[in-house]
This record gives sequence, C-alpha cells and structure tokens, in this order.
Amino acid sequence: MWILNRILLVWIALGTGIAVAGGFIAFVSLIGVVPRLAAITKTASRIPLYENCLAIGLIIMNLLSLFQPDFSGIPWWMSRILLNFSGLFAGIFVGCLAGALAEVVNIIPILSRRIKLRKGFPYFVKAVAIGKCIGSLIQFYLFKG
Amino acid sequence: MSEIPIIYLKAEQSTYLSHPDVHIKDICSVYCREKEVEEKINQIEIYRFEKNEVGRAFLSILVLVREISRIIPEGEIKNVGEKDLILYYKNPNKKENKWIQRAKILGVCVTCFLGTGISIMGYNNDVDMSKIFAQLYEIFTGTQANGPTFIELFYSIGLIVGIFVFFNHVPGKKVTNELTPIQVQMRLYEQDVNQSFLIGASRKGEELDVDSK
Repeated sequence: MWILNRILLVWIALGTGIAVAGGFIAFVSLIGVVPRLAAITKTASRIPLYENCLAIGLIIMNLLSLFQPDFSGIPWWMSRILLNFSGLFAGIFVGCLAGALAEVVNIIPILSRRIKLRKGFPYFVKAVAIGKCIGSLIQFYLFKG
Repeated sequence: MSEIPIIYLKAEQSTYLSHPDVHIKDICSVYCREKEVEEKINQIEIYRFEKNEVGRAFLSILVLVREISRIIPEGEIKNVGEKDLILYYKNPNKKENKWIQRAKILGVCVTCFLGTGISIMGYNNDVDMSKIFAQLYEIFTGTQANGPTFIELFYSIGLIVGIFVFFNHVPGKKVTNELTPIQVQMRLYEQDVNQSFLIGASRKGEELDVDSK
C-alpha cells in the first residue's frame, strides 16, 4: 500500500508537470513574443537557441521557486547585480508579454474603430507603456502588505 | 510557331535582394514553352533601387504583365502566384557588425531565459503549487510535509518532458525534422507583416501599379 501511494503521487506530479509545461510554453510561443524579438534583432535563424533558453530558464527557475535553495553565502554585491539584472530582463519579457496579450485580443484597433479614431497610435503605445510603469511602481512601492 | 505562346508567372509574396537592379528572374519564376521567350522575359528590368538605400518596394503583378507585353505583344500571360509583391533590398556590403549581432542574440537569450523563468515562478506562486503538493503529500502518506518533497522533483521532471516534447528539440539536438512551434509562429508573423505592408502601401498609393503615376 505504501509503495502504491508513492507511485500514484509520482504519477500525479509527472502529469501535472507535463500539462503545466505544455500550457505554459504554448502560451509563451503562440502569443508571439519571441518571433517579434527575433524580427527586431534580425536573428530568425537562431530561434531554436531562443527556445532552448526559454526551456532552460523555465526549468531552473521552477526548481528555484519550489525548493528555495539557500544562496545567502554569495557576496552581497553579486546578489544585487544578479537580482537587478534578472529584474530588468524579466521586466522586458513581461512587458512584451503584456503588449502581445493586448494585441492578440485587439483592444486598441477595436476601440479606435468604435470611436472612429484613425490617428495617434504611437501615442497610445506610449501611454500604455507609461501607464504600466507607473502602475507597477505604485503597486510595489506605495501599497503596503 | 503560329501558336500563341502562353507565359506562366509565379511570384513569391516577398523577395530579399542583394543587388539594386531587379530583373524579372529575381522576383518571379517564369515558364514558357518557347525557351527564347522565357529567356527574354527573365532579362527584363523591372525596378531599380538606390545603391545605398535599405529599402523596400511594392509591385503589382500588372507591372510585370505590362513590361512583358511590351516585349512580347502576342503572348498570353497567366499568373499563378501572388498578385502583389514586396521587394526588400539591402546593400550586401553594409553588413552589420558581428559583435553587435552577437550582443543582440545574447540579449534575446537572456530575456527569454529570465523572462520565462520568473513567469513560471509567478505561476507557481499564483496557484500556490507548493501548498497543493503539500496537501497531496498529506493525503497520500498521512504525514505532514515540511518543505518540498519528492513530488516537486517529479513535477519538475514532468515540466522538462513537457517542454521538450512541445518544442520538439533538446539543447544541442533535434528530435525530428519538423519546424518548431516558434519557427511556425515566425513564418506567420512574417506573412502578417507583408500583408499589412501591402495593404498600407496600396492605400497610400505607394504601390507601383499600372495605373499609378
């Protein structure tokens, strides 16, 4: 009985992992952030490399978040650099993700068609970016708890 | 030779060129039963870029038809390819610095790595994965889990399997010959961009067509 329980648990965990990975990666790749980054940098030939980076990032950070290993031994300046660096790049990625999400559901085109607005699209994009920045600053630094 | 020569044209929606003078053979495949007619058509010059610009041009297939019928008035032309074409031109001598290229690649890699990494952390936190696993552990074993157990480990293994099944390749090795999902997405994106360019160009009258000028 004991061993059966363990096998069942392992099975559940494996299945969950596969399902979550499939869903997560499908979301990230279908929303089209990486194609756009590759198009901007004109490096479409390196997409398999980018996919590997997505995969390895997912795996390593998942392990970090579940097992929470102790890294307090590394020098404080190094941890600061690492943290700020990951914050910056994660911000870039999440920004792309949020932009892509808004684009996929066609908010701005539909809205501008409804209110019959043809101009000013560059300003909308800037407004969205500044709004996101201010919003997250308020959330992180002004909201308590 | 009294027969009317039928000329078939098949053009791609977008063509990347590395030399400024564009002949029909660069942008379009031509078939005609009479080889000398085909040869003549292939040599027609259709467009000329500025030598140093990095540019694009929009062409209607009718421009090709007009130029061909100027040279072979008796021919019958059948288009089996795209109707509106985009030509991209970049001077091959103006290559981007190799190190800038590498820096860009590195930048995208780091963004992908940390981006998905922190997103999955956010997801795990959001749905409280650790708590779910602790509850499962307690149900099945009857003992309270303090800290992560082997379930998390197998969840992580499942994650790895799922990712590489979805992406179809593991680092350093391709599993099958199919395109990966993001490569497919890239093609779709390219098509969308071309289509949007063409619609914009024909609205603004930038497209080179037989009725323009």
